[in-house]
Amino acid sequence: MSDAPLILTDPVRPGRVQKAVPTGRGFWALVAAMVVATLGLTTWGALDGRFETQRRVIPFAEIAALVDEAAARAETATVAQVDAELDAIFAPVEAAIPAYADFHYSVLGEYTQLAQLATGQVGAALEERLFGGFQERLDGALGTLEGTFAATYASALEADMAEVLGNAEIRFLTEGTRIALADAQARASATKPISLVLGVAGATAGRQAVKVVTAAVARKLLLSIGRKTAAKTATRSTGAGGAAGVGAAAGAVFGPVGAAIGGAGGFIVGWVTTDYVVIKLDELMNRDEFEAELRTMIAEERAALRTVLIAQVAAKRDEITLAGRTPDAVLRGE
Amino acid sequence: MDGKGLTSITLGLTAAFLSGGLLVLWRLLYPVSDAALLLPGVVALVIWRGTARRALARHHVWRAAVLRRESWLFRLLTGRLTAHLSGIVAGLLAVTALAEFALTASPASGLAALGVIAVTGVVLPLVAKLVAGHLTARLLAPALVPPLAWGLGLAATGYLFWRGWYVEPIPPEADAASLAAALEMAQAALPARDHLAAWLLALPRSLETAGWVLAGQGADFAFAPIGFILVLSYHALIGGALVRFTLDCACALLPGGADEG
Repeated sequence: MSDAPLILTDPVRPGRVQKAVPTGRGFWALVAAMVVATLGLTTWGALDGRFETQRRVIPFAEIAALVDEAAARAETATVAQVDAELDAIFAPVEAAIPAYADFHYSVLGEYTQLAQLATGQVGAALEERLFGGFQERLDGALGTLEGTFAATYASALEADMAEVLGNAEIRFLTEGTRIALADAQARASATKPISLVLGVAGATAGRQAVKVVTAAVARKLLLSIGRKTAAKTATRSTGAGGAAGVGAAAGAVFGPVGAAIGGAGGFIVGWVTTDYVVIKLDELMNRDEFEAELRTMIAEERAALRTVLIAQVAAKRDEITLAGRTPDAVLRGE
Repeated sequence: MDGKGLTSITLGLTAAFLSGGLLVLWRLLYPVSDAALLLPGVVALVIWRGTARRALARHHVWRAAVLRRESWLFRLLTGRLTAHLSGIVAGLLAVTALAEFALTASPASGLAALGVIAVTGVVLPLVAKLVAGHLTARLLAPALVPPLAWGLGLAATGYLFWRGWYVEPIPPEADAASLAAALEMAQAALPARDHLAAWLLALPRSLETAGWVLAGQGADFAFAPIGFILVLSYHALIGGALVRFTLDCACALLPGGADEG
């Protein structure tokens, strides 16, 4: 079949040329009219304030990303504050070191420590003289860190959410996202507080954190004191023995009883005097070393506390973060 | 209908511009106003015209070859009824899929779809030029368009599916706790309307969402391929409709009336 002409002869009535082939103008005029009508009606609707803004589903992943970022920002802000808080907690402890050294290098101090050691009150003197107010300061610092975390998280989340949910009535959330969002806003306060978690470091509750720190310092201190005590005891025995002989000779004037009393009195005076002399000699020779040692021990405890605090802040962030969680898990409250 | 017109690059580009433009207008205007419902009407009219013209051209040749002109059957079997019916069915099917896709596709997917339309608009005149020397002008469109629609449709399906499966993020509805909840959310993403057009738009939307949800559950369920098949079907529907719409638009633009062969 050859190419047919555009203008056909009418197949039904041969010989008559079919009426002029329609060009399709009517069809395209209709199309154009419909498009113009659409544009016209829409413009009229817009001018008349009948706009209906496009809605958008906010996916779970988008909310999760905001929550995680807010938690990370809260962690950064809180960790940045840890050193300042530790300074505030430990400054009075370090300032009290010279006063504690005075006590340590006194006869009263020596016997107080011995008595506490004998009664199992290890570290009681340390806690009283070096770590006075430590627990209160620690509690205060934990509260501050907790507050910083919650405030940074809330403000970061609020700002980001305001951007995403700018027009909440026309944007909406999937079920998992809605719950995740409600959850996210409550999470900072619902998660385990930093102060309680300190218990994991060695004590059973936050209140006992000071005992943990003091006991650790006391243990190291006693080891150090123990090494020196053996050296001092030999000196003391010689001095007291000599003084007892002198006392007994003086008491012999009053007979055997007098000699005995004189001997005992002489021993006690000799012991205390010798002790005093030995302690002062010890102070003269070792005080600087003792203070330095104490500072090192406290610095070690401070470093340990810093590690625990930073780990707890990270744990708090991990509890909040939604990365790796599915909306299903959030729905189930996991 | 002069099939030779299909060899014109201008006609191909005009068809692509018209097809893409109508879909973009629809995407922009329907969320704002129901007045935009006239646009799917235009799309359906264009598809109907292109489809019906090809069907009539094919039928007229068949009729001239098979029936005697004096026979009353010659007058009865004009082919108009089946041509218009096929045009209406094709128009309704394609317009429903295209309207839903244009509304809910991400901007990147929307651009990919415009790319499919543009490629169709360019490939059509090139292929038409290649085969024009072998085919009669009257039957150029009916002979060329179906195989071209299949070829380009399959390519478009593969491209859109690859994008949907590997490039685009999984739709948020797939996160839903259950299939019913996912379908509900998916419907909620469409502009809030309660009329026939909105119900029609819900059909392809549900097909796509069900596919994603079932594909997402693939790790836990033995009937994993169902999700894959549904997502593939959805993209086949969209890919095919995009190509057919552009080709029909080109056929509709060919000189001549709607009815003559």
